[in-house]
Amino acid sequence: MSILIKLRTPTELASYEGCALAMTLATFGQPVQLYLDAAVFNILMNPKSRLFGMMQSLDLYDMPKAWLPADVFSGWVLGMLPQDLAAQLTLEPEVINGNDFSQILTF
Amino acid sequence: MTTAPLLLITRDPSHPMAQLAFRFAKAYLESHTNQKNDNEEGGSQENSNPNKLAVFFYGDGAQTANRLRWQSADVTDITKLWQSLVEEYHLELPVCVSTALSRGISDSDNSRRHELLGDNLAAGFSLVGLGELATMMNDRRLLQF
Repeated sequence: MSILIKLRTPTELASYEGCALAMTLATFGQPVQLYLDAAVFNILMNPKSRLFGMMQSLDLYDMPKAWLPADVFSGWVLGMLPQDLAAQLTLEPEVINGNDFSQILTF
Repeated sequence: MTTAPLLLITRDPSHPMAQLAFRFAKAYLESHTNQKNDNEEGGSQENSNPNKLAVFFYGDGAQTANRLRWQSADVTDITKLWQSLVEEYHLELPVCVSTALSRGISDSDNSRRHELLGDNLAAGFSLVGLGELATMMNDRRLLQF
């Protein structure tokens, strides 16, 4: 069972710490799914933020594409981001089965 | 025996969830004292023992380990409450070193390494790497506070 980690605090530090936890757990073989709330989009779009750099390396940690809220705003963000970063992101599925996740952590 | 939970404390000590985490840990330890005594000979005191309650302070939760955090007398000092569980139940209080340092909380080793003036880690707490959390999980139920 996977762990869902939601990043929804609009600070560089909180988003970094949530992402760092996700990557550490993934390193130890724990399946992790990241979810980026719209509140962290301004950090995601800042090339100087640690979140920006870390999201580009999700596949190096064998992590699935991070989910964004399924709305028009996310579509706009995906279009604005560099291609290599946008390739690591996808809109959340229409139906999410809560039983697929053993834990949901929020940062 | 069921696997004991791992409490991931990410809230600032002033947050109600941080208070709830302490109450949960205390109630859990009290209710399992008899079981602990029964199994004491074969039981391990290490945090990796899945039968023992484990806690991990991360993010804003690291502020709990700041011994210089002053509060007025009418506010509960949650740092002291956690320290009481160390004395009573030998509970370990690991804190993520990265999140602690970024909030100005350091022990003597890290202060020396990072050339910081002084240290302020409260007694009973220890600074550890984030990998420690992954090791502690060990199929435990993770509860975030």
